Amino acid sequence: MGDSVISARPNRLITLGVQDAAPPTDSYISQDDQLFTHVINSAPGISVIITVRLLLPDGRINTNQFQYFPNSTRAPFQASQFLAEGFILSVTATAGASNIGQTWVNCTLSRNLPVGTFPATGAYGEILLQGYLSGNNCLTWPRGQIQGTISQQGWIRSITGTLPAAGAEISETVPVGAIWSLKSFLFTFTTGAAVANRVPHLIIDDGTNQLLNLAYASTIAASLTTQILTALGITPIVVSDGVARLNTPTNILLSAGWRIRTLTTALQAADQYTAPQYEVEEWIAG
Amino acid sequence: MIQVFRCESCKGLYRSPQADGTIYHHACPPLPPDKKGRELPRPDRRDENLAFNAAGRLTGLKREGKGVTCVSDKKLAEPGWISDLKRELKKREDG
Repeated sequence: MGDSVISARPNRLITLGVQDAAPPTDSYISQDDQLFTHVINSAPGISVIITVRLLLPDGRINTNQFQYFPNSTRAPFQASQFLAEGFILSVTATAGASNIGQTWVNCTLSRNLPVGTFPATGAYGEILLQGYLSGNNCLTWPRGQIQGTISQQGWIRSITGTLPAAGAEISETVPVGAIWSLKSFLFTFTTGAAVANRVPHLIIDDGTNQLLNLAYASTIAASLTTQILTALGITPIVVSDGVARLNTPTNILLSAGWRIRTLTTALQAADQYTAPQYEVEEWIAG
Repeated sequence: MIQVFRCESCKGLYRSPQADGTIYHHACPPLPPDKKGRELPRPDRRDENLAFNAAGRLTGLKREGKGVTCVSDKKLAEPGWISDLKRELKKREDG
């Protein structure tokens, strides 16, 4: 039985043991255990800092800090660190200028997990923290929440796509490692002098199979310029003040490799699309 | 700094990085439909998305195609992130 804290109140009911006390957490770290950190990131130039406070066997508290520099390609980044024997008191993860939806972190207690592949063969232990970091959002253990990659609002982005060559279609691909929700898609179509009745379609496909095909409700003749917009909640209009509108179903989620593109009936060699400007909500693919 | 590149496979022009600093991964559109209405992929298409092997290890770009030309800075051979990626993969191979 250990000593107790002396209270100035003589009629106290509860005392606090301070010698041979039970550890305040249940995460015991042996000398073989490692802290495995997995990061997927699209934010340029950020660092991820993991801070671990450990209660050592001799009663001292040790603070370890690990700084990582994941690249912004959304390629998985992994690192493994041995920790001293003891009990973990807290783990926090922080990052610099990043938005929710850009920098996803998972910290796990593990043994012999190879870095460079994920998921990998090895012993995964307790998941300590998992979720998005941002300039204003940290992750912490204990008392933090384990989050999925699309369990909260993503990052709202405005993207300028590829300007296709004359006579070519627009085609935008969801990058590897990302999930998009399409909010709007805007482009201009200028027809050449060749006589033909063009009908632009906006297609969403999975890289092979069409999932959605929105056709312009009329035809576009030679030597005309038409701006075409699709967005959530708009009313389709053939042309109003030079802008045609296509209706978009709500909440279209697109996986990596899926495409948003045009497919134009009677497209002519001199017809020209502009680079599309579009708004998406983006998450890291889980 | 935003640079403008021309894809030598499809002749499309694109900006990388984007205004928000993120990488833009260009991928060529398919060829226009043939007489039977089939949309075939370009045989020499470029796809700057990342490729991984069966073990989940990063191996590079999906397809280089005919490469790119930087039209905003003649000294640049390709988007900076691709050069960095190739250096990193080379270092891993050598190391």
